[in-house]
Amino acid sequence: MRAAVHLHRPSSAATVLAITLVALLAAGLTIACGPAVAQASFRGDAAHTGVQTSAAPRTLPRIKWTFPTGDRITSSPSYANGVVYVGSDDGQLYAIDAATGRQRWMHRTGGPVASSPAVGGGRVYVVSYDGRLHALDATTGEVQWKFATQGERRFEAKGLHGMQPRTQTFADPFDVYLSSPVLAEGLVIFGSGDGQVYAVDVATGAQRWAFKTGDVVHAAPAYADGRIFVGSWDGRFYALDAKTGRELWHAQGGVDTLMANQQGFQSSPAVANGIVYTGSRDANLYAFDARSGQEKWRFPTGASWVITSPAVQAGRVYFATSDTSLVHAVDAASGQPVWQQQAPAYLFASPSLAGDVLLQGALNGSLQARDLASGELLWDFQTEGSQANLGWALTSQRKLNATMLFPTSWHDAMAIGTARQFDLGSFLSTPLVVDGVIYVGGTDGRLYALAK
Amino acid sequence: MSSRSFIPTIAGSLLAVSIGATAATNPSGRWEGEARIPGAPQRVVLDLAASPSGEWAGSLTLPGRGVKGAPLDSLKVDANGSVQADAAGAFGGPPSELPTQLAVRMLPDGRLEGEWRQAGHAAALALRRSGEAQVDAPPARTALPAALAGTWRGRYELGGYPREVTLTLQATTSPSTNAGELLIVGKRRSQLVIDRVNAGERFVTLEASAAGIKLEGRWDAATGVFDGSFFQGPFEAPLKLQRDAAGARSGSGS
Repeated sequence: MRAAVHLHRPSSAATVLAITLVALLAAGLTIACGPAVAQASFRGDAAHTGVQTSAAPRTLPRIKWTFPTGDRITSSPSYANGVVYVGSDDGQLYAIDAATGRQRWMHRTGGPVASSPAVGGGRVYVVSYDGRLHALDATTGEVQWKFATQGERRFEAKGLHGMQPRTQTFADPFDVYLSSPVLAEGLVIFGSGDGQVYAVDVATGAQRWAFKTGDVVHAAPAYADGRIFVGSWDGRFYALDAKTGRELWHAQGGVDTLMANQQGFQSSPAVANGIVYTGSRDANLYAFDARSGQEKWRFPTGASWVITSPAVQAGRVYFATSDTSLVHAVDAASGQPVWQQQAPAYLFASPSLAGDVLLQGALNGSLQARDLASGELLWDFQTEGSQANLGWALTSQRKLNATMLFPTSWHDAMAIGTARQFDLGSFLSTPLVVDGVIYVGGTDGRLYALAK
Repeated sequence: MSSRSFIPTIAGSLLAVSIGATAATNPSGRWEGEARIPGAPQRVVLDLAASPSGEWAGSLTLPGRGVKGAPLDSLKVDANGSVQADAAGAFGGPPSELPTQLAVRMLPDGRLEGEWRQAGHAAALALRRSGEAQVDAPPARTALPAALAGTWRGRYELGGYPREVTLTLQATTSPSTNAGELLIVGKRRSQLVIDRVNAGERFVTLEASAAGIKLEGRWDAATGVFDGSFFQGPFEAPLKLQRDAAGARSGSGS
């Protein structure tokens, strides 16, 4: 443990009142919209359990529509009142009519929008590589305010992942996401490449607090019971007081002094029943007591990253791995395995639980649906880029063809190989399911709406 | 990887003609062209030559893929100038169930056409003769001498973490026989097969090719000391091993 760093605090009764009013307004809006889905953000709720409000089809869906953007979609879509919101690496946030796939509005930021928008209180919030949190009117796209961090950057290290020359500092081509904001306690809370976790007033955009970690924070914070949980690339996982940003506890994950490969929390945590679950690049899924920070269990995956954010439902935790490409279901209380299934390629996108179906996107351009109880494959949707398989980026078994993608470890080869891989229409975006329709972005720049 | 080139002699080429291929169908030489992989055409340089004893040898270069002079295995050249070869060694790594192969035949106009197969796919391959063959000799391999047999122990350190090494070697009579086992215990436990050996009187190279791991250094049978380095990918670390007191064990490998 170490002392928390307080840079900013709520300073006036008026501000506190404003926060309370906005929070009530947001809650009221949700209730007013009745039992039908009014809004859904990244990982479902603020605790990020990954549970969708609607069931996904158990048979291969058809494409209802696709919406082309100007670059990769890394962002995971959100939804409110018939509108799907998604960011694109073309620098824009899009609002798209869920029924027709037609654009309602778009908002240009100053960099790739690799963050997933949060919706609440009639607003949509998203982080861009321009180093700003953008707050927009959800209906019109009108800018409400912007909040500037000290700037975005990717995780970097000398000789990262074995890239050569080893004395060269490389930016991580697999640090593909920006932190996605979470709405709680009248605040918008998110991490930044400047190493800080920020809490900003939803109404005014004024900073309420900031907590400094030792490196890039691109995981999305989760909120539960007045606490914020988030991991950093400094190898630590933090619990913070949501109102003040005071550190409550931290847990130490793995540190890789050789090539910074087996360290850092890129996975966004989920909280359920007093336990917080998170994956780590140190090749573990961790379960911590949310109150004390005590490690309840860990599930080792060999040397395989857990970039995916865990989903939690009915006493089970679902997560997936990168290199071993396994989808796991484990007992939430004990960490004991329930089932595991082999996916065709690296898994970065997170599992979505939609009724009795688990949806999992893969880097080979496959979106797979599995039976939640058994893990058995139900269907496999493949993007056009994945089917075209230009340059044999995939083997005939639809696995990533490493010899074609990563022929050397020198200079920029890893970044180039990663870019080639993304030409497949990889799924970095996590699926959202609303009213039986699956919304998910591809690195082919398309937002897909899939339905029966 | 060490590589040595040899230029086939005219006599060698003529011998090749005599053992099968006619002058019109003799594929000896350097061939250059392209594998038409959709979206990413691959340049290919193929060298083929027959040795004085009539055995064909070949190597493969793939510009832009980091492959220079990779040995061709299971090389078959028939009287019609058809060539088939396994090129799995081009990319290293563990054996794949999806082979890397080429299969071409000579056309009446002297070109080679056929298929390039990799990762379960096949693409048209077209090559034109561009000169004399410059076949890269495959890396030298030897059997493991009895004087090196035994159990060797030591440690190396990478990234601040020590790894305990146990190397168990058996004498072999053929370079193609596995020579033992390399056990590395650090954060994880890795049990690897030593499948490539190049042993001289004082210097030895041992490889676990599936893991891309190599041990290289000087050894002394009298003192039972190996003093060298551990290599994996971009990493190299000093490694000193001491043979167990039981000393060298003789015998042939499995």
